[in-house]
Amino acid sequence: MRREALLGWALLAPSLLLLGTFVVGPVLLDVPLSLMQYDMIAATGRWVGLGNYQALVADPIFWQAVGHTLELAMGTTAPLLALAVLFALVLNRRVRGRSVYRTILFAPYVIPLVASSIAWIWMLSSNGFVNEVLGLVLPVRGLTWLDSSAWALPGIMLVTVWQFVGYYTVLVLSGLQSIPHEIEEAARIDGAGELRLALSITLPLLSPTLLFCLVVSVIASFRVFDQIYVMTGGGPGTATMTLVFYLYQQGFAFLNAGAGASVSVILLLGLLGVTWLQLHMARRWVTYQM
Amino acid sequence: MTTRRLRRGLAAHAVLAAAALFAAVPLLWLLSLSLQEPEAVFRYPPRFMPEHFLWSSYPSAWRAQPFARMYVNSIVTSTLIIGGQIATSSLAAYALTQLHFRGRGLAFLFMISTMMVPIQATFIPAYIIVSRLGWVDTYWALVMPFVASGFGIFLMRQAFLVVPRELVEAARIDGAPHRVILTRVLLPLARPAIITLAALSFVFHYNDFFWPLIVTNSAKVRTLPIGLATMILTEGSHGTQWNQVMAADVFVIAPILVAFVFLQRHLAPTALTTGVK
Repeated sequence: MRREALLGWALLAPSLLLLGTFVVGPVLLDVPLSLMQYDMIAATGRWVGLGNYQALVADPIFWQAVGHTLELAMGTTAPLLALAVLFALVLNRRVRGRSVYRTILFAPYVIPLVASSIAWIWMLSSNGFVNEVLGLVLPVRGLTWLDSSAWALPGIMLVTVWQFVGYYTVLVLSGLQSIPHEIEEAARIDGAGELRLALSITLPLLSPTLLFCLVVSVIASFRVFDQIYVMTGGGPGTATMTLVFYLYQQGFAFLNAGAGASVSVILLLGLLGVTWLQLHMARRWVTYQM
Repeated sequence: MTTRRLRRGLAAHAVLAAAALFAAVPLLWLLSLSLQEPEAVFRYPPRFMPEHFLWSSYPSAWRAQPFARMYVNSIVTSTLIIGGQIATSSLAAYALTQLHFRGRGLAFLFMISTMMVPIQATFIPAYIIVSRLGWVDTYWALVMPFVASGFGIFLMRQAFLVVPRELVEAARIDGAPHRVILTRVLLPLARPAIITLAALSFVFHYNDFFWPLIVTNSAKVRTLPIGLATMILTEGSHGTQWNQVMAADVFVIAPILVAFVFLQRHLAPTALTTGVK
């Protein structure tokens, strides 16, 4: 028995050691670091108590970043989930060529975000295709999205939705396909119409998958970086400054490690809080099949 | 009845065609711009089909950054990471599914909880650790932090759990040591999971931008996404040559898109939802 335990820990050792050093260690180190003034180049620091946090709370840009992060979370997650459910419901029918549609829809997911962002700079320019299409219904003609403080963040949301909608569609589709056929069949025999079927049977049975997508998408939105770096650099002004971008500027561009770490701690707590909240609220709407 | 069905079929195709267009147009536009003159990005109305094809942007783009070197860096580092993840994850999954010892469940929880931590929230201490190790601007910094993966462990554990117990028992009764059970019984049966892990990991690390941006500062180790971003941020004497940027974009996207078409069934994220319900 002792030998089995020894072997077990030996096999776990590489993973534990690496994850400990590069993931859990840094999470823990963020806390003391956030209480220091730390010079990354000289690798020296001194304790400043809650000084970094006080400076943060007093910085209006920090609060803008918090706001933009939450806007981005909602502005990407809501359309992503809505479109994914729509596309998955349609793909779940016996439509001709559906595997081709699915392939095309999923393709953006595998492309580097940096590359997508470059393409989207010119999709969102004043003479770009987005204006050509949306100009039919919205007052966007002549608008350069990324130069406008009102439209730059929606522009970032749009790329993000484009990049990931196929991914969530395939997730929802696999959720749909795991719903036993007999249940829908039984409801149909009992005289349920299409709409009733969708609302009373399909969506509740899909709810665990939707919860998974929701949690994953919100976490992903909190870490959005590449699009902002390439497309706007946080601007114009601070219009697309998110927590992660603010953190990047504080911690790396300005070499202010302590201040950066305090943003990290807040980001981690925020992620934990938001995820906990979603799982807590899930009790009200997620149905688990027996 | 038939007209209703027909109408519904048409509606389905309309939705899917719109979705496919939404996905495809930015990529086609990118391709088109790479073949037009640099000023084409400013033209109104936009011209989708190039008047004449200007292939010259491709060789110029190739020379604008050390892309050959960056290809090697991207592919070598991604491959090393994948190899490392498969090795560490299978060893851990073996311990988690075939051996019984105290603390096993706790260790599993510890390892999968790392999946939730975004690197963007830990990069400052992570950078300090990497720089203390003397790894800044080396392959070590790009590879080592990802050689173990909570997701990989989760995936391999799932795969080992569905292997019938009798199979492992039979091998054990025949006197097979642990090493043989792992390499001859479990790993061959876990092949689909290994391919999924490799494919997802490749997509992630070939595309990764944030961490390489932080820990590299010279072209000798920089990866493709960094090369691309550098192209638009460092303007030449004539401003950004957008047709070259787009050409570079195309040759960064092309390999992974081609690989995707062949490997797509392994990328289906169904594996991700296993065990969610």
